[in-house]
Amino acid sequence: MSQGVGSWVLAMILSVLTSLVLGLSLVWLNIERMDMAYTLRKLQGELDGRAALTAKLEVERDRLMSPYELGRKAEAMGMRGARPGQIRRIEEAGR
Amino acid sequence: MLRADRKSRILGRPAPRTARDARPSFEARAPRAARALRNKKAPGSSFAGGPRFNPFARYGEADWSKVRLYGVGCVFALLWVLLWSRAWYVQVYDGDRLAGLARRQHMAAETVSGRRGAILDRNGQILARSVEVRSVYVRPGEIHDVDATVNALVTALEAPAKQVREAVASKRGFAWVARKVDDQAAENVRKAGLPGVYLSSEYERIYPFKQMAGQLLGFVGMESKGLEGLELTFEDVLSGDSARNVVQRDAAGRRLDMDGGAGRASLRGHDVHLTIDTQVQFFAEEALARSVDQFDATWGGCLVVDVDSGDILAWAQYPFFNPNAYRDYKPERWRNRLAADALEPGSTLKPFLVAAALQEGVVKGDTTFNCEKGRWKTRYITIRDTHSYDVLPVNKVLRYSSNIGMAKIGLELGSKRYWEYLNQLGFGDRTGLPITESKGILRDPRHWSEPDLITTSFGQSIAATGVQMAQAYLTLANGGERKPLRLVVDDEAPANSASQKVYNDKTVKQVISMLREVVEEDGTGTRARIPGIMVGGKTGTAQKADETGRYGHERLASFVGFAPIDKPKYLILVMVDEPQKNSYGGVVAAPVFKHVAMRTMAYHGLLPDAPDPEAPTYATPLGKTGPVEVRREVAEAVREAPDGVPNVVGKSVRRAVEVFARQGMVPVLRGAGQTVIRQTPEPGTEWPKGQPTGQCVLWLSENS
Repeated sequence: MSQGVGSWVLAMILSVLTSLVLGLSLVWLNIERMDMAYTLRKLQGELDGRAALTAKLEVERDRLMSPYELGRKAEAMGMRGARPGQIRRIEEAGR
Repeated sequence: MLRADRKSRILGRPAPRTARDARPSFEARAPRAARALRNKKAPGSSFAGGPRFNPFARYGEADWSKVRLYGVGCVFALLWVLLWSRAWYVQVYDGDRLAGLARRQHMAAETVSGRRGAILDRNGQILARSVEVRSVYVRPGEIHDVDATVNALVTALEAPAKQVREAVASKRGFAWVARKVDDQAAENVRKAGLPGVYLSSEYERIYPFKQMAGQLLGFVGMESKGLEGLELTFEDVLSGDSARNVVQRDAAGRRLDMDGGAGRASLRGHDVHLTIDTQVQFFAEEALARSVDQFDATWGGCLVVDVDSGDILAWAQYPFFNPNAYRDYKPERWRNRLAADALEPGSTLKPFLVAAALQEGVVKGDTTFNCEKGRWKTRYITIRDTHSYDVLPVNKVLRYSSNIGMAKIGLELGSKRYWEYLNQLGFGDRTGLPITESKGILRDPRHWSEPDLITTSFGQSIAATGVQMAQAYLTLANGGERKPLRLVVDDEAPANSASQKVYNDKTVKQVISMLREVVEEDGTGTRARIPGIMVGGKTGTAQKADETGRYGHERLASFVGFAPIDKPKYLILVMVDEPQKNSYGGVVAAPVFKHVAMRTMAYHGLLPDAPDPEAPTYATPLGKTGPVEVRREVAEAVREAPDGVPNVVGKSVRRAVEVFARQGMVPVLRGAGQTVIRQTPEPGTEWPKGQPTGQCVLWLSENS
């Protein structure tokens, strides 16, 4: 009889301890979650910023590589479009 | 001391204050005998001295203790009940409301919008893209010092003070100060840290190539919604989705992504890949702009189509329109005229009538027509040709673009049959491209009178857009089988562009040959010739009706051609509206075709290496040291041995190849260096006869 009561008491104590541990774990996880949320927010902002910068740089690169821009530079350097008779495909001839 | 005090209170006597006082007083001392009796141990008592004297006994102190205990118990019970009652009130009775308040405090809803998709050309070059920019807004209620805020914002944004003050002094709770500012201005505002001034993120549409294909691309408004062109027609595809997310907020009001920002990518709009090639587009725009400016025309348009696939490689229109600054233009500048404006095509329609007549057996290749020496008076109207012709066979009727000859062919064919061919070619119906386009005008043949048939035979009384003309010519270039034009890669064929054979192969071959004669013989399109390749096409000089509805002095000059003509690879349509200095399509539009075709073929490596009869034009010094030196050196090398092979040993491979190429010889290169160390044939010997390739060999130095 007393053994049965003792096991019940033990089980109760273990349950209480488990509850305590689980409760503490829950608190700890929530803290970690919040911490991670801050980190994620920061990283997301950083990623967005870099993506925006990349997009702007790509747009600028395309602007600089546009046929109009290259044409202007080529003209300034004395180049012009090839006409029939001016094109040589050296790679093919050398093979 | 305290115990004594308490005891004294209970006994109703003052507590002794000192040790002496604590001793029993004389009166309080009981007689010795009585003390002895009291100290006698009672039976059963554990105390040696018997039952202790309990001064409370006579007052019932045990009952008071119970009362106290009950009292304390009641207080605790009451507190407990109050606590539970409060808990019940908070959790159950008012739980929903309080939970809502808590949620409002800790959670916040934010609307997240996906970025608008990009528009790219066939090679992945970005034609339109959205980039994130900052906008500045104020909450006037939070601003304490209006003047200081205005001054700081004016400095940071370099904006007009009046505009900033209007926003800051606004009575509303929110006001924009400046939208879509540059990064430097946004950083200035952020650093200023002004209370009540905030920055928000928005997307701005950027067109990096500026005016390139501006009318085709269209533009978006301030809220990133498509308003014109492809931006409008592909609004559903390009626009990103919006989602309202609930995010957690900390005590400082910072918002936290509890889901790690998942789902953002799915909100982005889809990209649209066009068949346009930016290089070809550039060639078309450049040549077109030159012609429109040169002939002082109202506007011009040019389409370049890849015949094999039906892909539209260039969609040029001049004067240009830069979608980055659409507010600076009037609506007529952003109007996509190549699709929206239906005009009488003029003589460029003639090949379709000739093809129909040939296919129907109404005429044969050697059938002749009397062109009435340039003036033919019918029962209703008088027709004139620009030149006086007598009797011409069908091919020459087309080559010289005789209106009289074409009218007679049309009368032979009849309205119904002619209309059927025009209808099958797509006139009077939209092409199905994803743009806003006109259907053009092709009236029911039952309503055609004889003058209608006559005028339609040479491209009047019918209206077609540039796209419709390109669609019709694509049928000819494709061996008589109708093929849909394509503007978007992986786009499905339009429903009304089912493949059907309009002309048979024999007819197409005959008409193609006639188109070649227009350019390569003494036709109207000789200015479209390209050295080294055979091209063909048809010129057009259409009269335009004035405000009164009568034909006036203005013209539409046009040219539609194929390059090369024997196996068409590119179809190029050029339209120049109301040119002033010259109105003939063969003069105004044909050179544009030549320029665009030549550069497009060179770009795709299809331009042959044949010598150019216009060589002096490109041998002319360019005004720059480098190229002039090269040409001079090549010229000197050729002069050194006018009758034989020049000495190119010691020269760079590029210049040596140039020298040999001038004589029509393509040398074989041995080695991988940059300088020629040996050559065959030897200098001074005669040029070899026969094949230009393989008889000359240049040995190059070791690669340095």
